This record gives sequence, C-alpha cells and structure tokens, in this order.
Amino acid sequence: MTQPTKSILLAEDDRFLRRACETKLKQAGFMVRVAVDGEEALTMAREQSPDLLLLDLLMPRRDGLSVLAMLRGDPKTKEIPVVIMSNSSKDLERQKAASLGVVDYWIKSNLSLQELCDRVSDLLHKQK
Amino acid sequence: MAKQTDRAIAGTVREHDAALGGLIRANPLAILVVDADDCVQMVNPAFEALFGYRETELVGQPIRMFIVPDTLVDEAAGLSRSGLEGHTARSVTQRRRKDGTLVDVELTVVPLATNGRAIGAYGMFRDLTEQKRAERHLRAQYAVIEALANSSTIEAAASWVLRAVAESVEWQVGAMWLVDKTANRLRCVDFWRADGVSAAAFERETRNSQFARGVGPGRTWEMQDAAWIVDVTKEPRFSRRESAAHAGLHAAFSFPMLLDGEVVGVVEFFTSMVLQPDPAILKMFAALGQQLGEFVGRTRAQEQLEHFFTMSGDLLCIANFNGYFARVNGSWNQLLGYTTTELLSQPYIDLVHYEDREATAVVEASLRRGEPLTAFENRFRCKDGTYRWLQWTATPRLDEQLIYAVAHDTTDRKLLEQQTQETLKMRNDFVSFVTHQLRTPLSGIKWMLELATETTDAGERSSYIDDARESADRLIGLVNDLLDASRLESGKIQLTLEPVRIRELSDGVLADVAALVREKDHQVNVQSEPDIPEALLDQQLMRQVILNLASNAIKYTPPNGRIDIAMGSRGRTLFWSIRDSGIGISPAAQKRLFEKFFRADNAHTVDTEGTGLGLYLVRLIVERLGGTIACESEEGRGTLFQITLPITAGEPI
Repeated sequence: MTQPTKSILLAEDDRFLRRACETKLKQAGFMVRVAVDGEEALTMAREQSPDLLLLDLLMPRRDGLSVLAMLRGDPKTKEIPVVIMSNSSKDLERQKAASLGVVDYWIKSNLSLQELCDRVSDLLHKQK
Repeated sequence: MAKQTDRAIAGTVREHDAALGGLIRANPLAILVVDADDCVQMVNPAFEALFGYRETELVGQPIRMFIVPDTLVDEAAGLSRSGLEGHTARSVTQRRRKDGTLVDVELTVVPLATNGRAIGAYGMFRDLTEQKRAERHLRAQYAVIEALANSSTIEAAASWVLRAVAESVEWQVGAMWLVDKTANRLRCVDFWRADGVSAAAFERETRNSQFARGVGPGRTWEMQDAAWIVDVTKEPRFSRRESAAHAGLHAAFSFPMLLDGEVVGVVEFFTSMVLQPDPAILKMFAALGQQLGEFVGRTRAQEQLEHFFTMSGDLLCIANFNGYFARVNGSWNQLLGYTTTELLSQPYIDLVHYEDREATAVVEASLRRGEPLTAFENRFRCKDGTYRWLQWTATPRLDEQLIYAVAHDTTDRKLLEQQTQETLKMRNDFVSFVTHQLRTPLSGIKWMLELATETTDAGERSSYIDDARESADRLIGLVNDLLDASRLESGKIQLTLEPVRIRELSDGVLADVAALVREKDHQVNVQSEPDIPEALLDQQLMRQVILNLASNAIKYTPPNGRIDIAMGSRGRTLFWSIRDSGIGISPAAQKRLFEKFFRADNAHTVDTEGTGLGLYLVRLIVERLGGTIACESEEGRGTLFQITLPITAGEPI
C-alpha cells in the first residue's frame, strides 16, 4: 500500500469488470491503466512495460493467450509479469498459459475485489 | 447200301446217346440234343427245370418252335447251322420259357459228328439269370449312388433313382413318395416311366394323389417294410387300379425309405406283367431303401445348415487362402450391395478400407498359419462408396486351405460410440462455455455491490448499483435464452398465435434499437410491399427473431454502415429479409451458423459477449412457425438473411 509507483496494466473487455477492478486498485494506491481489447493491451504493454499485467483471455481483436505469446516473443516485453484473469476454467487454457510463463491464473468470479487487491499487493511487494 | 449205312449210323447215335446218357442227364447245365433237322432228340432234367418243358413235349419237334423268342429266330438259326456244319459256336443270348418269360443264357452249340459227318448238335445252356441280375443290381446301385452324389436334394435325385432301379429290374414305371410330416400324408415327389409306356393318366393320378398312413403306398409307410402286389388291377384296395389297368400295369412292389427306423418316404414300381413276389428283388431294395432314407436325412441336415447360411443376418463367408471369397451368403449382398459374382471375382482386400488393409493382412497371415481369429474389426466398402464396420470371427482349415468366417455389422455401434464421444465433448463444451458466460455477469454484480458497500459517497453508490443491475439484466437475458433454446428444442413451447402486421412489428423493433443505430451512425432503410396480409404468428417469438437479426446487423457492421430491411408476400407465403454491409461470414462458418453455441471466428473480433445462441434461437423459432431461414454472405462485404413464413403459422410451407 505504500508503493504508489507500481504500475498495473488491466486488460479487460467487460466494462463492468473493468470499472470495478480499476476503481479498487486505484483506491489501493496503484497506478492503473486499462486496455479494452487485446490489440490495445499489446500496444500499451510494449509502450509502458507495466510492473504487472492483469490479462483477460476472451477479448475482441486479439485474445489474451495471443497477447501473452507476442509479449514473450519480444525481448523488451518478455519479462513483464502476467496474471491471467479469466472466467474460463478450461484445463487447456490453463496449460497454454502456464507454458507461456504466467505468475498465476485467477478465476474472477471466485475472488472478491478485496482478495484481488490483496493478491496484487503481495505480488508487487515480492518484486520489491 | 446207303439205307443200311443210315440205319447203322442211327444205331450209332443211339449207342452214343446211351453212352453219354448218364453224363448228360446228371449235368447241372441245361443240355439239348437235336438231330440234323434241328428236331429235339433229348433234353436233360436241368433243361426241363430251366425252361419249364417236359422232355416228352419236345422230342421230335423243331426246337425253334419252343424256346426261341420271335426277335431271335435268325440268331438261333445261325447257331444251329454252324453246329450242324461242324463248328462250335457260343452266344450270350435270351431264350423263352414255357411261361413266356425270357431267361438270360450262355448258349454253346457243339456239333455231333460221326465219321466226320455232322448228324446233329448239342446245345448247352448256362443260366445267366443270377449273374445278369447281380450285374443289373450293381449297375442300378452305381446309378443310384451317382444320382445321389450329384444331387443336393432327394427331389433332384428322384427321377434318376427311379430310372436306375426300374431299368435294373426291367419294370416300366416308378414313383417316389415323401412323408409330409405337417399334413401326415405321403406326397408324390417324382414319377418315371420307360419310353414307349403310355401311362399318362396313371402318372397324372399318381402325381396328384396323397396317401394317409395305411392307404396305397401308405401301407408300406405303416408296415415299414417292402410290399408286393401280384396284380394291382385285381387288388380292390389299390385306388389307382383303373388307370393302372389302362396303362397295362399289373405287378407292383414298394419299399420304404428308412432313416433311423423311421419311414421318410416310399418308392414303388410297376410292371406290365403279372408276377409273383421275387425275394431277390425285395432283398435288394431293402438295402436301397436304407440308402435313400439316409440320403434324405443327410440332405435335410444339409438343408438346415444351408438355411442357417442363407438366412443368417450376419455375413457368412468361406475364403480361399489366395485371398478370394469362395462362398458368401445373401447378407453380403444386402449389406454391401454387391452381387455374389462381384464379391467372388475380386480379391476381398480390395473391398477393405485402405487404412485397415495392413491390419487385415496381418490377421490373414496368422489365419493361414492356423490361428483362429476373434473380435477383429475392419471396414468394407459398399457398392455406393460408403463403408461399413465389420467385426470378424474366423477359423482356418489348413487341410482345405480355406477360412470360415462370420462378420457382424458393427457400424451402428461404432457410430453410437462416436456420437457418445461427440455428445460428451459437446456437453463439456456446453458446461465450460455456459460457466464462462454466467461467471462474467455474476462477477460484475458481485464486484459492483462490493464497491457500493464500501463507498460513503451516495452518488458513487447508486452508480455502482446501476452497473450491478445491468449485469444482472445481462445474466437474466442469457438464462432466458438458454431456457428458450431448451424449450424450443424439446418442442414444449406453446405458440400464442395472433394476427401480426409484419411492417409494424419491424418498425417497433427498429425503434427499440434506434439508440444503437445512432451510436454507430448506420443508415437503415425499410422497404415493404403494400398490402402485405396479416400473418397468424406468435408476436413475441417473431419479435425476438427480428430483434436478434437487427442487433446482429448493427453490431457486426462497422460504423457508417447500411442496413436494408425488405418484406413482402407471395400467395400464402411471407418474405422478410435484412441485408447489412458488415464484416460478413466465411463460407465455412456459414455452414455452421445456425448451430447451438456456434460463433464465427470473426465475431469475437467485434464482441465477446455473444453467446452463440442468437441465430440458433432464430432458426428454432422460424422452424417452429413453419418457415425457413437462409444466409448469404461475403467476408468484408456484408450478409443477407432471408426468412419465409407461412401466412398461417404452424403449417409447413
């Protein structure tokens, strides 16, 4: 909570979830930018190299796994820590995400905003 | 001088006779002595026994008057002449008995000479009856065996058997009867008569007769033993006696065809003579009756097996080790559509699916080594080009170099397995898809309420609550769609039919989506023919169709697009169409467009909230209303949906 300089990129196409997450994380003191689809997420991640990318999977224009793969293939972006936030619990998607190197895989509906926020804080604190 | 000499000679003959007398009379051969005029000098007792004449009836008479059949007069004269001319002659021939019957004999004529002058001749007759009979019986037996060997049923063998037997005993007519167990009657299987015998009426009557046990040939059936009638025309119990008399038939004998002590048929023969029972004939046919009965038994067993082979719903076949079918049953034809000839004339591996050929060759090789086969599956090509799955059980016979195999059509089971797998996959897809679709608005509701609880600002709180409510509405919409789909699928939805003006309904829907249209700056044109009749439709469902199609057109058309809606009617059919200038649908996606949960790949690029239920529901509703829906599209150019509906819904167009 004492590190407002940490930046988070939130890629989420659902406007309600996007608004809720953005509001909560900002209240917690993080610097939050939002992307509304996969293309935007990719562009912003390249430009801003955030401390954490919260990445939805099912998005217009480019899905989350594709964004992740593009980031991992680029030396400038391959170190960006990524957490998948999806409502899909398909094993196949979990495996693909794991093979591309993600910090974690969260099911949104299973988390309260507070839990979400606490987890993000923990991750960013560990990074120092 | 000459007269004295003659007397002396005659005396010598008598002396000669006296000297040979004992020898001739005691001889078992029938012996006849004739003088130079071919008149009988003496006959021995064996001759009397063979021909039935007393010596006193013959002495001094020309022998040709008695024992020579009319047809053999010249032959007999020739034999006598050679004897009287001093030559020995021999012939296998026939002579006539006193009772008129013929007897087969071997006749040797030996000259009787004195001082080099033939003064008469001996005739020695060896009775060939037994030998001839034995020969004929052998021939008959051979003919019967051959007939049976070359026939698959007793019916096919009957005519040959009757002929062989009748000819061997020189009887003119024969008939075969089989026991019909159901009717408990003897039925005539076949009738045979020698050439030149006019027995048409008798044949007709015989063929048309049926006999119960104990009647006619049924007596033999009842007695289980051979029977002999000396003269059927004098036998009151012989029902066919009139036609038999007309055909000139008299003596008859019959014998049973026996199988394990049971009579399965009767064979009867008739001759033109009146004859006393002949034990030799009766004895011979007892054995033949056994033989025929066993043949009937064998062929019946064979018939039962044939029946199994022919009637089996499974595919039965016998294959050569060289890779061809040798025999196939009718199921092959029914299942695969090939004729038997087609199946037998090509290596069967050619009919096996190419992916299964290697495995088939492997099991073939182990069969040829003598190992039986179970539960092997491969695919065979049908004549129409489709394939059937066959499950095989096979046994090789190394001595015959044959494979006996049974195949069972398991295509349906295979399909079911595939379908079950597909159904399972679909169910999994359904569960994970619906899970995702439900979780998203649920998360929205949950998080918005969490924010609303935490905030102290009244304005913010009501804004969060508004978003929570909107998420809830989306969730309800999704649940309703799923429920509608389920009810339409099961046919449980009740139609509320009312007169609907399609133009008014379309305008109403467009008013509802006007905000969305404005947002994207689309241009919407509506064209309707005048005087479209009111249609009897379910207003609620029809509204859903138009709303879904209009929403799609707006959503999947980039800003500043054009949407054309047109409607009209032809006879009792209503037309409604919507064309957009949107992103279009790929040909592959068009094929699956109306499937449940199907979403075209490019749909995700526009919007991720789609459920894949919209067009599926549209199709279900249109079909429920008795109409049709079609789609034409080009990627990047736009899409056209066309609907036809009966003006009175619920009736197919």
